Amino acid sequence: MKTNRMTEIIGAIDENLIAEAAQSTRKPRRRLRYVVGAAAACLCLIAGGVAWKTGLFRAKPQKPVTDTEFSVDEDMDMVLELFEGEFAGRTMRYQKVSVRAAVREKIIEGELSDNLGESVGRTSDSDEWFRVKEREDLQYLIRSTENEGYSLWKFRYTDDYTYALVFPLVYNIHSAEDIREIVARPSLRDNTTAGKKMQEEVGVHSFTDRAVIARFYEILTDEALQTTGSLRFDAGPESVRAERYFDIVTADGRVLDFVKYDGVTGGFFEFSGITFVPSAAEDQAWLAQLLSIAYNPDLLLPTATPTPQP
Amino acid sequence: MDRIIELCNARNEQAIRELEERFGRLCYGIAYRILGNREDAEECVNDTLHGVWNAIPPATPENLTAFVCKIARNQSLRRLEYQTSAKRSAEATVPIEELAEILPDERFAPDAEDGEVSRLIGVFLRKQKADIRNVFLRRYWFFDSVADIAKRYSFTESKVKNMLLRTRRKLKEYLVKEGVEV
Repeated sequence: MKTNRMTEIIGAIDENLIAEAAQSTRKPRRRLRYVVGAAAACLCLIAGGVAWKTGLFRAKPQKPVTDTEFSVDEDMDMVLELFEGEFAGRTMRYQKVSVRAAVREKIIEGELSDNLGESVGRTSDSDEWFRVKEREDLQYLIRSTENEGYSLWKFRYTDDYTYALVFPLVYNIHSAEDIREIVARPSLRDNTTAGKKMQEEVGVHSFTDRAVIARFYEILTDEALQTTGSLRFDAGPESVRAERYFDIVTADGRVLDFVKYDGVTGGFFEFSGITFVPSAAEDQAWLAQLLSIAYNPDLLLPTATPTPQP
Repeated sequence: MDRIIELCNARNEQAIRELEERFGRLCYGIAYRILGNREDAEECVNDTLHGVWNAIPPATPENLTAFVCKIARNQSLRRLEYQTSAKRSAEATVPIEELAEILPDERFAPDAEDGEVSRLIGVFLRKQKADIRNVFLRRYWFFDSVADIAKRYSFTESKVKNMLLRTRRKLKEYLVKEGVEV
């Protein structure tokens, strides 16, 4: 077919040319660059102030910050050997948070005042990275550099990521008592009409029973939680039926929205590619029952990891 | 060797995370421009990451960026082909039509070797100024809209259209001169 042939011919062009075009931009004129830089700095300050004013850093329920940006050029690796040495030797990966969502909130509410610098909390040895004021957890950090001023960073993962590790170290969750509520939402993977219908059928369920929260916490933070060797890449209404997105509401009012569960492979996952399978089959069965996920053997993917033996 | 390739070779799932961080936005851009649909583009990004993970090893790409871009483009075009058959339109259809006037097809050049034509296009592009080369590739490889290209390189849209028109004409002349009937 002609179209296919043409796209294949163009598609087979020298890779070095493709890489060059992928990264190519025209540098703005010097004057414009200053304007853009100044505007970006102002945006950071405004958004920081707004984030502060709108309660991003306060101990109360808040909208999760989901509008994040990836930067190919940004070197996001850093080794944090600060804060009483609790991260010594561990590579922490943070991601710069886009502030557009915060600015949008600001426009709606018409609030504007402080800047991000006023949210800087305690530090130890670092003169660049800071905790957020009045927050004990490390989900967000503030960075201050001479060139860029203040910027907000959100935790992504560690080099040896498990919930047993990051719950206490990063999210300041040390036991089930630190969790107030678990909300299970349907997957948003399929937003077609059929998918949305399925989302309505599944509905949103809140769990506040202490025994349920305790068991959920126990499963998530099991040291033996196994990393799976595969990820799911399918979509469709069935994925809505089989998956749940959790909001973990902490006792101090923070909302953690990164944990998800897939009833087909029977494992937890995050959008960044992290996947875990509970070590006990009865835990998977309990989760399926709790979340009203009916197993359908026909849905099992060929790449699904079998339930590990205890 | 690129760290991500090393992680893939070691079957370390950290590779998936780093792939997503480094290339997720780039892949999404390619897929979105071709498919014109957010959900489809997101699924294509997932397919691409999976594709890279499955391809390495045995593949050991010299240029990982180009390798990932190629997989994203192929995944998106495959999906587009399916959608087009279902009468759905997308951004990529216009650039493909523009190419029709300069590239060989079965009716006029059934014997032209595709790989050789690709190589000749590469040689031709290397002889052009970087701006011209990149604008051409952004349009016909990445399927950027004229407006996006103009924004990317701080050109006016009419300048981009003129650059593309002239480059297409010159490329056609070059291919004819090299013995490729178009």
